[in-house]
Amino acid sequence: MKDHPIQLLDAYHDGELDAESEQRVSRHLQACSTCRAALEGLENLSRLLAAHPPEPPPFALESALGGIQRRLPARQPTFWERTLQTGWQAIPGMIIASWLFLEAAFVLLILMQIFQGLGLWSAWLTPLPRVAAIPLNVFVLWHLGGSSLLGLLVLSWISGWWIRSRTIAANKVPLGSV
Amino acid sequence: MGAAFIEEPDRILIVRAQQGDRAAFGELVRRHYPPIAAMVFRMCENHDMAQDMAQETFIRGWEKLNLYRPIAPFRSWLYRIAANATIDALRRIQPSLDLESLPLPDPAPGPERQVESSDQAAQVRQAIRRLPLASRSVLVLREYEGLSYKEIALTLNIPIGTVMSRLSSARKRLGMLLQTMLEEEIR
Repeated sequence: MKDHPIQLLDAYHDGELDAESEQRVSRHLQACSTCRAALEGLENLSRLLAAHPPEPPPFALESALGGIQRRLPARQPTFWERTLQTGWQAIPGMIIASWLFLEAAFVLLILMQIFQGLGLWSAWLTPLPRVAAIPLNVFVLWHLGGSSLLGLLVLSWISGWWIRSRTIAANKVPLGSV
Repeated sequence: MGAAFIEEPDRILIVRAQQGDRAAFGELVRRHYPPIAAMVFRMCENHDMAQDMAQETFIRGWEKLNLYRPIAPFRSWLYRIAANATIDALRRIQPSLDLESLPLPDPAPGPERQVESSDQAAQVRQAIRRLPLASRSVLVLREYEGLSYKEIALTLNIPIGTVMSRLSSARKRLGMLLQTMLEEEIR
């Protein structure tokens, strides 16, 4: 018999052929004693290997854990982790900058109102639009509200930082003591 | 501390370890170290080296943990690291053998049936050890770790066709080696 599917016998033996190829090899095997013998050789070899697996002596897991712990480097953060971390660290700065901006805007608006009240507006502030006559108490409320909101954000950030640092400290458990 | 992780599936532990949780990673080491070390031992037949390579596997795993995606089992991912680390180490120790340049024996039934001496196990181990590294890795992953061809291909980063040809070559060569040993024993 010609065209022995020798190359497919291993895959047939391992059950790795698709249905069509498997059927083709099965049909061939029924008619070919050479390939049947080759397949039997593969089966015997697998049985022999299974009967004598190179079983390792037991590994000392605790000692391995200790070895890994000693050699385990600090994990390098990914690009996104670094970005997130930088963003997180920049939050207080951004809050303070926002607060300074609000304060400056508040002071400027107060000054502009005072200038308008003194009739100095038209003299040297003509390029600027006239400020609507907003009552002082509204200004103060805006100012207090904005400052309080920013203060709350700062407090939230500090709380987040504290919780995060506690979590990180709790996670720094040596591998060997797990 | 370890008890807290006993019921945790790998997936959760991996996510926690990816966030830098060393205790979660420790639990993963506990779960996967023995099979990884055993697999490496079957490839190199050296207990100390198996321990070193298994440790190296987990250290590399920790460093590359953010690259792991749960599209394949975690153990397969570790197998891949372990196999590569072991092959690299063995290549440093042994001169590289080119599988393709090796003569293949005739595809006749192997003599393994006849090998029935009391030191059969030692002979089998010796024969495996004498296989070229590339085919030995495929044989071990298939015969002892029970990986599918696709898993072996992923583990060793080679095409499935190469897995098939290496496995076929490994088995034929193993048969030939066992036959030679048997003949030497008879003499």
